Amino acid sequence: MEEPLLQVRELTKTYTQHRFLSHKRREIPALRGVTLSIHRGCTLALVGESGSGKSALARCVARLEDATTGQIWFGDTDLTTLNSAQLKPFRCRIQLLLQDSAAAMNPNFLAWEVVAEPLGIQQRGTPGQQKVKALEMMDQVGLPKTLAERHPHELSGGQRQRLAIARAVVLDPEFLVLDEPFVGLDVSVQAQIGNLLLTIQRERSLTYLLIAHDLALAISLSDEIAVIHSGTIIENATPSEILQTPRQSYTTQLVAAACGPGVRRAGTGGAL
Amino acid sequence: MRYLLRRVVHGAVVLVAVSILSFLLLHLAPGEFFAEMRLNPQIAPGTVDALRAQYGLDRALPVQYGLWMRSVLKGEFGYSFAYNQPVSSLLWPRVRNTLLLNTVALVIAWLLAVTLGTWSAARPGKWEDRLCAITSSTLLVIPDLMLALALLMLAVRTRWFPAGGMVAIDFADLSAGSKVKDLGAHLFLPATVIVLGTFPLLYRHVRSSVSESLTLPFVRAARGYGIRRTQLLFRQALPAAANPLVSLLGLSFGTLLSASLLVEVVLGWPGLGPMLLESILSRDVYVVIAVVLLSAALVILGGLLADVLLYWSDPRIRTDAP
Repeated sequence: MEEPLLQVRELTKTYTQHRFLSHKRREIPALRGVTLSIHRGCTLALVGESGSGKSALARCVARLEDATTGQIWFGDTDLTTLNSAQLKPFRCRIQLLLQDSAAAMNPNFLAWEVVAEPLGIQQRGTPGQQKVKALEMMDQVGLPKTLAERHPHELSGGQRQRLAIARAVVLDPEFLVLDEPFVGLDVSVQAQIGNLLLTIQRERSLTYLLIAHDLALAISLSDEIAVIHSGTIIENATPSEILQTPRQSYTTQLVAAACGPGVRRAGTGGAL
Repeated sequence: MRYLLRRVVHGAVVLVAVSILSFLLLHLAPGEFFAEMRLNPQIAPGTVDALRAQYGLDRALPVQYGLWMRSVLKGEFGYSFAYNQPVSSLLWPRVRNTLLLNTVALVIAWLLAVTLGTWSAARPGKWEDRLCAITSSTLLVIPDLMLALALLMLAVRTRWFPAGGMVAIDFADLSAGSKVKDLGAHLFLPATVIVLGTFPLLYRHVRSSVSESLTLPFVRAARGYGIRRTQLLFRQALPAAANPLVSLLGLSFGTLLSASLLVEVVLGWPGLGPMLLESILSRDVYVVIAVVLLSAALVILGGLLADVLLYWSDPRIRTDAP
């Protein structure tokens, strides 16, 4: 079988908090030995409640934060051993879609500048070429050209999320970490964004690590689901196994919550 | 534009209120410029009364205010009893000197604060950050007066810098280059005291704003694209931290006439400080009111400047709420 694109091995992340007027520190473990792997072109959904360590894992995988111990293998490179200069080429290949798209964009930038920003940082092409590419990407995610000269705060939540997706894929990455991409969106916009993510994945053979607290959405978008609880992966299975034969009581609770009254249909893969 | 006009009208109203209040308070305080003359047996009481009448001090307070207001509109700002000339002619050369000193000092203080504040915010807990924190705390607890005296002592003992005054006696005979050098040497001492006095506060504001902005999601996102450290700090984090700093800059602008008053008195800089002190002590009220009014005008201008800068720099402020 083909080697996984991303392998996380025994990853731990501990935050330390200094106590007031004291040298003592309090250790807050966010990840306690997380191991998972994702194959090229697949989507692994990481599901768990708030504070379970999902976003910490996203930030560690995107190398925005250093893990305390453990390894993150991307292809045949352990990302945890690289310094910032060595990481630069990998920055293009791994992209992170941040949780709050409104806060994740520089408020002083115009919409096209938001998308062109990674190109500028990675020094890809002239400013003119960067603008052309940015407008092209905006078109691909379904944003009309008339929005290009607007500031992020002048866009709706759904438009902003599309802009964030355009920015995340503008460097042609192989791997995308989607940190709660549906937060704050209404149901119909969630479905549109979900479909957009699936289309882009198909067209660009992208690999996704989808962070979500909504099991129903995770099930409809992913090939595999890992359930995280208190910084540990407690269950790792296909969506249908999770739905039909959950092994852990915590997973059963999640499934019950997802399939409870008033909740959308929970399919197994495919478009929403 | 309408907003700007409204702000200017507000500013004018505040200035009139400040002038009325300072006029009232100074006149309500016991004693006046001519009180000392009455104790002098060589001056006839009639002469003092004549002098008071000449300056309009025997009229009712509202009339005095009206007369003074007329003189303000003529650009004279009243008449100085001590110097027997319009306040404006006394004030302008000194305002110029004070503005020169404070502008130089505040520009240096801001440059230092922004550079060091941003630099140390990027290195939290490292030795450079701690060194800056200790230095700023130390400077914060030392009174300006002590700093001025310590530097004055240093200048007198070492003779590295001229102590007191603004230019050398033979300034008029110097070449243009030497004039600048001489002025720079005289500026060094008072400007250093003001820089050391204002830097810690500015530094702390810059540091805390930048370190807060470094945790903002879009700054993090830029890090995720592999942005260079200096670019991250000065193109992303510092502009993101700008709003509170722009407001602080407006306040700083408001202190352009008042920041150096004490330092000028101690170090003999021929600015507003020594004149204001002298006028307060001798109850030369119109000089005091004029200085108060000018300071108030600068504070209002500073606030306006900050608002305009914010309006220009932050597109979110330019957008009307739905």
